[in-house]
Amino acid sequence: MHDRFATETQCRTRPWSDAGTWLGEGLRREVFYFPSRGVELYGSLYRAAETTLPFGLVVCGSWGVEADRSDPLVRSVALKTARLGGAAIVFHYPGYGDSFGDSAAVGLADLTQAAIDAGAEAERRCPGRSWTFAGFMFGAAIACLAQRRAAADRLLLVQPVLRPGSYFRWLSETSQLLAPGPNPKAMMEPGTTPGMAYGYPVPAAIVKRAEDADAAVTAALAGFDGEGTIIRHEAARGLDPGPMPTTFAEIDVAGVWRFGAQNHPQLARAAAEWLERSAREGSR
Amino acid sequence: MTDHAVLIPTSEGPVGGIVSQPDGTDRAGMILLSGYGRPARSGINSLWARLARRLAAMGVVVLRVDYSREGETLPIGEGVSGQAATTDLDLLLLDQALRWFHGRLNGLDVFFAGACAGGRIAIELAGANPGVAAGTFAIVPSLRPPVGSGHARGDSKASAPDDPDAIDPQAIERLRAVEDRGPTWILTGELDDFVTDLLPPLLATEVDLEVESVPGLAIHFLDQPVLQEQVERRVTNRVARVLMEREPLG
Repeated sequence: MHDRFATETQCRTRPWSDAGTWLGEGLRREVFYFPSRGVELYGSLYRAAETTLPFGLVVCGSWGVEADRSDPLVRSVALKTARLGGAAIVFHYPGYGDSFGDSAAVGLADLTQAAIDAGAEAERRCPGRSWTFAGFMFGAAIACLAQRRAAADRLLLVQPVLRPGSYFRWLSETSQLLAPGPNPKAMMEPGTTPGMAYGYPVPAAIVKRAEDADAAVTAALAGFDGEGTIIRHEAARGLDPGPMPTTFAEIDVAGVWRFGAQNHPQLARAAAEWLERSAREGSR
Repeated sequence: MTDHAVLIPTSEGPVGGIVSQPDGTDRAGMILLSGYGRPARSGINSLWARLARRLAAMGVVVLRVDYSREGETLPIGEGVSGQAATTDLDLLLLDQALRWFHGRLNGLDVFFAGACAGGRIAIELAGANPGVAAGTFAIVPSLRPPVGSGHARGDSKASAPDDPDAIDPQAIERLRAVEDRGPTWILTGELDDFVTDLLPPLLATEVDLEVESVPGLAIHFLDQPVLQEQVERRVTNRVARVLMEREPLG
């Protein structure tokens, strides 16, 4: 019924490493792995085929189930940046998604280094840009820390959570159901598996030193004297995102935020408008 | 093993995927399809990424892809709504992804594997491409007609029974199309009623398939470690057995 397998040399399939690039519709897309602290991380670069804008975004997504559910928002921002003539990199943290690593064992330094290495990889592939760290929900804390290390002069924070230690502590204790969505109510029922939140392990090292983690972000923001923008709904219910920096431009979006919300069309629209304004200013 | 990120060219645009490639001899290919819930391609806590890597360590070249409207495959599918329309678009994309994948496999056969909606899509794809199928592994597959499909719309060509809880006849057709090509294996939990309720009528059709049931559990959410461990272990064992049967020692 089936052919017997042949020798090893006959059975090697064609190489796959040539299949990570796509060109079309004025865009160049690249997907790849890049190293960070010895772990291979997944990255995706969206850029205009002919870049006309001198800026790019390093997109720091959220964590766990919130990263799952906000992925279309993150992608829409990256795609919009490329369509406006710029570039954006989306990446997966160690242990999340298609990256290698152990998400239970990561620390704040691993996540921050991942963002910095993603920025370096983006610059290597699309050089000559001024890169802005853009943080979404939990990823806003990582963007702040990465900005400090990389000395970037712009920050974009979307529905930011600026207390990463408190965030994970809240996740490890919560019994709050996710915002309504296509998944059944019982799925990822919180509180059912110790050390897990909505199907993901909570990083114990960060929970253990939650106050230090929160203080690190506060310090990073205090030392930031560049141009910052916050786009957000009214504050999250059940989760304190921390005080927002007063020196940032704030774009308020109608509606109340709820943990685990999906797709976020209003945030996506507000971010797209901010990108359009930035592109106009950048091209002048 | 090595993971390669790929963008598969299709008529609608690029479909994002990951190919897990063995270090040694490639023994077969596999398309591994998640359910429709996010994060589709990698699975909750990277379940499907882990499973793909385990299978690659056994010599299977595994392709996982993002469905329409998700991940790297966005913006394909923006504006498409409804289960049937979405599934139709995904089948169109996956058929092209399969041709691309198989074209790089130097003639190796392909296993079709998937969970929930992905289990049904695996059955559809295998049945539509029996010439390349090496076996089908369906984990708690959806076996009823998709909402908005020909059956539900009353399309006479669908020729489905009146009972809305009946198995989609197209699923049975697809299973029959591949029964001579390799094993068809359904993994379910004892408490996954939406599958177990359909097993007696499915087995009565005498389609050649094996059913494995996990006692005392509903496994379809796949969101907790205990469920993920069951699926990882049982799929790995079943694939190992098929590989051994296809390639007996000596």
